[in-house]
Amino acid sequence: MWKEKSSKKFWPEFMDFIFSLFGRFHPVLVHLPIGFLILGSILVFYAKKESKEFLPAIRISFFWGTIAALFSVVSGFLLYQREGYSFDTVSKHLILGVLTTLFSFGFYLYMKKRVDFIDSKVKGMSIGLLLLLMLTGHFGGELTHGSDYFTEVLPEKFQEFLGISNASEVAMIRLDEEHWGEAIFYQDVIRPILSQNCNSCHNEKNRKGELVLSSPEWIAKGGKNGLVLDPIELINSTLLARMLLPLDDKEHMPPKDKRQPSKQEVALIHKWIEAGASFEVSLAKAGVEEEMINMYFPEEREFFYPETELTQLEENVLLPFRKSGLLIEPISQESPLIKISAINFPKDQKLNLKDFQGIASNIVYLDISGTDLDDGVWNDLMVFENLTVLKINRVDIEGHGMEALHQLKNLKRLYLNDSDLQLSNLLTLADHPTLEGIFFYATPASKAITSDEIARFLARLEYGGYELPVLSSDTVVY
Amino acid sequence: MGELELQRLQKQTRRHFLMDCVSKMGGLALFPLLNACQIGSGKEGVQGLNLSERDLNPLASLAPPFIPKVKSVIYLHMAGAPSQLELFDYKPELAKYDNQPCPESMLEGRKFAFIRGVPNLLGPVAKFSQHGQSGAWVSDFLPHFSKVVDEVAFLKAVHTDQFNHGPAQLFMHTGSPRLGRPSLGSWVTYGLGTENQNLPGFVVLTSGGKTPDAGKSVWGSGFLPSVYQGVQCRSKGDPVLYLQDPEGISRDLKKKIIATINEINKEEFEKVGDPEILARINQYEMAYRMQIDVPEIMNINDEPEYIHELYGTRPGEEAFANNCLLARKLVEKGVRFVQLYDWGWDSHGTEKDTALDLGFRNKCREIDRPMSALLLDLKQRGLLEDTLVIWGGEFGRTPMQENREGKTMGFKGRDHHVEAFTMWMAGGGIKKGTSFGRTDDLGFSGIEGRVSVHDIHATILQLLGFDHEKFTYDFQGRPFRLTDVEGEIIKEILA
Repeated sequence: MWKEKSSKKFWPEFMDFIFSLFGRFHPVLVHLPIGFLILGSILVFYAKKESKEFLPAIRISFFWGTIAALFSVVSGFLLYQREGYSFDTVSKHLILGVLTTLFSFGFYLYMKKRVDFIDSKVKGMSIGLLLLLMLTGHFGGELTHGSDYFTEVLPEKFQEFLGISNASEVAMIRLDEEHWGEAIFYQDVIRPILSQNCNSCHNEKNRKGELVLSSPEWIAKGGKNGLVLDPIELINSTLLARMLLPLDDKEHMPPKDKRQPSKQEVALIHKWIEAGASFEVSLAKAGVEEEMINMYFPEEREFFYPETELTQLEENVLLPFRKSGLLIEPISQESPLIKISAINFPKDQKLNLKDFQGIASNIVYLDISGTDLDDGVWNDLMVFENLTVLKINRVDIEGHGMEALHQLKNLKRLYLNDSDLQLSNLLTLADHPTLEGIFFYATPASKAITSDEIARFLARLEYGGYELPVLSSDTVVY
Repeated sequence: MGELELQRLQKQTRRHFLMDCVSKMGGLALFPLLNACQIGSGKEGVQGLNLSERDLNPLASLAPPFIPKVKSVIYLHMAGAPSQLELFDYKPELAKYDNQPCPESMLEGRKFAFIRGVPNLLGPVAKFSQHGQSGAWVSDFLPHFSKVVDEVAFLKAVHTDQFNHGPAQLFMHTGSPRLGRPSLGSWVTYGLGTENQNLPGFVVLTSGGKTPDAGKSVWGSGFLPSVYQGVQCRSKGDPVLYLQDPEGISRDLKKKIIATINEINKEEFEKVGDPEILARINQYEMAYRMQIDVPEIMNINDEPEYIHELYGTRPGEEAFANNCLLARKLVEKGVRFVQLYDWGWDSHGTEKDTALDLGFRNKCREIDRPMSALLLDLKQRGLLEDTLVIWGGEFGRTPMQENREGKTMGFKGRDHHVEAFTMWMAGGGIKKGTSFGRTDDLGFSGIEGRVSVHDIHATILQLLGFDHEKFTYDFQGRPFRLTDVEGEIIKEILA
């Protein structure tokens, strides 16, 4: 369908595949000249001053180095011709490869003339040849391993210093939950999909099948099998049709062993082509439904606990606290933030918050309910800079000095149920900026608070006292 | 039989012998390999006793993989399956077709537990109205609950695949309709342990006069170590049977006895290396600690009078109201999972007690105030932020009137129904005042937002900080999950 069958003559077809095969031997062959030429150069330096005993060996090395280089160049040229590389991509490698071959041949001829000893001129030439060889090899390596092969492993800071930002050109689809309809179908959805699924082969460097899918112009141009967007029967365009073929079909794209686009991605390409494959149309105008793209909405990532750069505490730091009967655990398995609860703390022991000084920054959840604490607690809490949830239920605390909690910039929930909390003290927290909820059920404050005072709080107040009315149906037995 | 065996032997050729040799020699070679793996994993190895903290205290509290939304669960299960059509799923269309024969198209290819032939449709027995800011439909059978609907998220199109009580309850609580799987509460306590070390991590309270049809397997630990099974407590009489010391045995003496027993058990463990022995040691120790704390927490008499009024408790009796109050107390004390079962919801209409307008209303009255009070009480203490409350039955009930043996029943009743029923959740991480899923005009099938039992389990585990696909236990050579190979998180009801 898409491939024109070539003539049935045997030889051209045979040569055709022989050339391709030979081309593919390029990565193997290139190591031969490297070996010979390096050996020759080593011998140049190995020779004792003003001696000529190595001359024959050096000649042989450079002779065979030249022959091997010639094979490499020919195979390399075939590879470039047959695998869809553009000249821009391989130009440096190709030119330097030819130069290396010519240079080494010249070197050989020069050495053949020289019958006396090896002087610094020869040494200089061999250094030059080695440099040429290295550069050729480097640019060749960039083609197979990518240009960031070396820089990739460097520390990020160092990369920034070198000016090689690692920002991958594969853009992810990001749509706004409210304004997604205005997003441009091609630019914001189709381009990233093609970029992730197709561009590893169909980019401007690689051009498999002479097809490039990285920009509207290239897509419109099509590949060696013709247009990928059929102007007459758009819906039968090969761009979509080959994605829809069964995975086992030879013509299926992307190839079986490559990353396959998801069903949603194929559906979106389908929709785009159905809507006219315009590069300007917006999602809403193309008639895209929200369900088709809602997986690209940003996930709400509002963190309840503060984001810190702390590291997980060592077990031996926590052990003494555990031994004293405190429950200590990270808020999640890998988190450096910890939760401490006095739920199992012996009733006859005295809890001293000053003991926590060393680990206070890691504590985001502290439940010291039912302990033997007094209003001195507020001052001790100042060092808990990341504290987010504080539970001090069932304690003899009136709240004197609790305005100090203003210094806790991450505090979100405060529990003082069943305490002796006084309303006047509670009111000092009315304008606490981060507090989201204050729970003070069954306290003097909960009984005294008025609606005017409640309105002054930024936080939601929960003081209970709920009742369910007695209904006549409560007692009817059917 | 002998002849058959002879025939079989005659068919055995030299090739069989060779094949046998190959496979069995392979097995021989594999054996030491497997053994080596086991020692390497450090799991057991009787010689090199390498016990982790978890082995010594299997109920020690553990952090979940992700930051959880809730740390405790209260699961209210209405054993027998209450009728969604009389409580939450309002179907005015169904009223129009009351007493009309059910369209045969609806019955085609479907099986029911008792309905035979073509039954008549049965309109809603209760009166419905909308409540709260969310405008949730609740019937007049639940007048108190209708005041707290803005706290909950309804799932209107839950479906199951079991239409008999036992298997359906097993499915709902263990993720499989067959015996042998750990219950939800066991998975949770296995994964998270429990905070209060003087109380069990997984407590079961029952009311309604009977325990669930599926038996204790619905709170069993399946293939998990038995320490994770639910501990059934009673709200009447001794809370835990055989927990009190016999007369003449002092607490000090008890301590010595347990220490000695544990010593012997430890020796036995070192000899045979069976982890169940460790569970046994731990259960002795926990029972000793529980002797002090359990009677204290299971005693609701010390609660203030207005709390008793709120819940409508009946001290000294076995009542759902008492269990709801206990559930709040247990969660407040750091118990991980509290499972309530209330029996008596199987409203077939065969007698007065199972009639939708009689016995069913009594059941509704018994749970209405307590479950509403539970939500309010958790809310006023700030416990609803850390707790997930789940309500539901094992399946739903048919829009058709039951016609057992082709006869019309003497009372209004409905048969078991797997296609669609209502459950609700409330608490931390739940989107308050929402309703997800919709059934067709007759309330027969879910047509929007259908969720499976696995989906519900996946959602519960998610709220507790687990990825249900990664939370596994290796048994019989493969990792097992609560949700097996299914389950999708119901994002629509998550805040």
